[in-house]
Amino acid sequence: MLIQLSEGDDRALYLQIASAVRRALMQGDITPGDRLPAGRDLAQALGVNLDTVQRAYRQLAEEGLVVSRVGRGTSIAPDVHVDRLTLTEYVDLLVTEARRLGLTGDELLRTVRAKLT
Amino acid sequence: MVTTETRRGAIVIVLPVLVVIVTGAIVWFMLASLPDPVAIHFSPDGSPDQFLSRGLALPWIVGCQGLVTALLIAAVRGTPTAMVGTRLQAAVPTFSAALVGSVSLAILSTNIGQDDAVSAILPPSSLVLPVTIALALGAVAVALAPRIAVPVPVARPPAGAPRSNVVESVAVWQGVTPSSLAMQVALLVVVTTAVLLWFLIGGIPALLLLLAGLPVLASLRYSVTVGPGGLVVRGSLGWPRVHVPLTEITHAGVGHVAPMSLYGWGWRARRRTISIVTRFGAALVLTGRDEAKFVVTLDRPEVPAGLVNTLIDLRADASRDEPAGE
Repeated sequence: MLIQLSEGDDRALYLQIASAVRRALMQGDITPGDRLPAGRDLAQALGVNLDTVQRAYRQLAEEGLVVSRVGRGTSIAPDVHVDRLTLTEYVDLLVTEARRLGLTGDELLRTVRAKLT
Repeated sequence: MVTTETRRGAIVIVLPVLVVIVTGAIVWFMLASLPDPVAIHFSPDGSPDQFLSRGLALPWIVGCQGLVTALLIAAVRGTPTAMVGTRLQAAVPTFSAALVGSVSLAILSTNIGQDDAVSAILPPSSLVLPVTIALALGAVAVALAPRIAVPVPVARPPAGAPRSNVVESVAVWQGVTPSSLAMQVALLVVVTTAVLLWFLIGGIPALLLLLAGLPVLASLRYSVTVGPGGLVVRGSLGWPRVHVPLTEITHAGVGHVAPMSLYGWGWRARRRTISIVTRFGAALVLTGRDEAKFVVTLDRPEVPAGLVNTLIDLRADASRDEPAGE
């Protein structure tokens, strides 16, 4: 699993880490059941705070992508739907791009609704 | 804020100057109890063969010590950082000032209480204490001097070596070695035998066998992390842990390993190659600056190999952009 932090990326660091995990899952670099690196190890390797990595893992847990168990670390949920991840990643990119262009939430929703109808 | 350079400057200049001042003060206090003239040089049998007026003892000793110290300070400060980055070199002026000062004081002390300096005797053993003092002060300077990384020229890995498409230096690859079937079988044998021992002989032999089996458990699989700091490999239980700094790697590649050619599974060392082998097949191969190799079995090793080479590329580019050392 390759995790890259970019200064040119407007997203918060924890979102970049979460996105990297999603991308690795989509590309098959990691599979359901695989353990993610220990938060402390990853934080040290990336040169970020432990809290940043833990926040990324919490974000992924809220999305149902990972499960954390005391003493066993964090691993990819066994029942994760990899296909839907692509959509999540696109939505993530869409929201980031909309923010960069200065669109409000309502404007973005209107644009999406227009496409759906 | 006290920087590393400021601290090194203090060790190179302030400490030896203090030694010269203290030596001068001690000589000043000794003057009243010295004969005139004083013996300043001794023949091999310990008898004096050169003398100096008492009034010149202080300027002579402090002058010689100060000159030697000043020359060494200038030499150390005038040499590029890359050559004096080590703490040992930063401590050279202090050691030299202390050696000249303490030997001079030892020589001068042979004159104390003598009506005539001709009666002074310098046994060779009396030089042991001054040399010890100089070594001790030198050791203090070594301990106080900051560690400065000596910049090493960074060369790009060969053009044909795998590359990653990362463009940022903050990129980390994390993976695990494939599980070792041999180690799983070995662990099963250890646990089964321990259970049998428990019932047939008793708990202690079984526990001892389980303890002996811990290295097998640790070698089931290893986590591998590649990042700006280099490569870190850790066993299932957190050990064995191997760290190969990026600065020590010239390039990374992909190879094929056979456990028996490396004397088995797990952590192995053979000649100039350290290996972590969990199965036959593809492996990440790192080549060091001294041609030493580090091998670890991985699926798709071209990805971490590419990242290692790209990170070295980025380091090489960055080192070219940096101004030359002082």
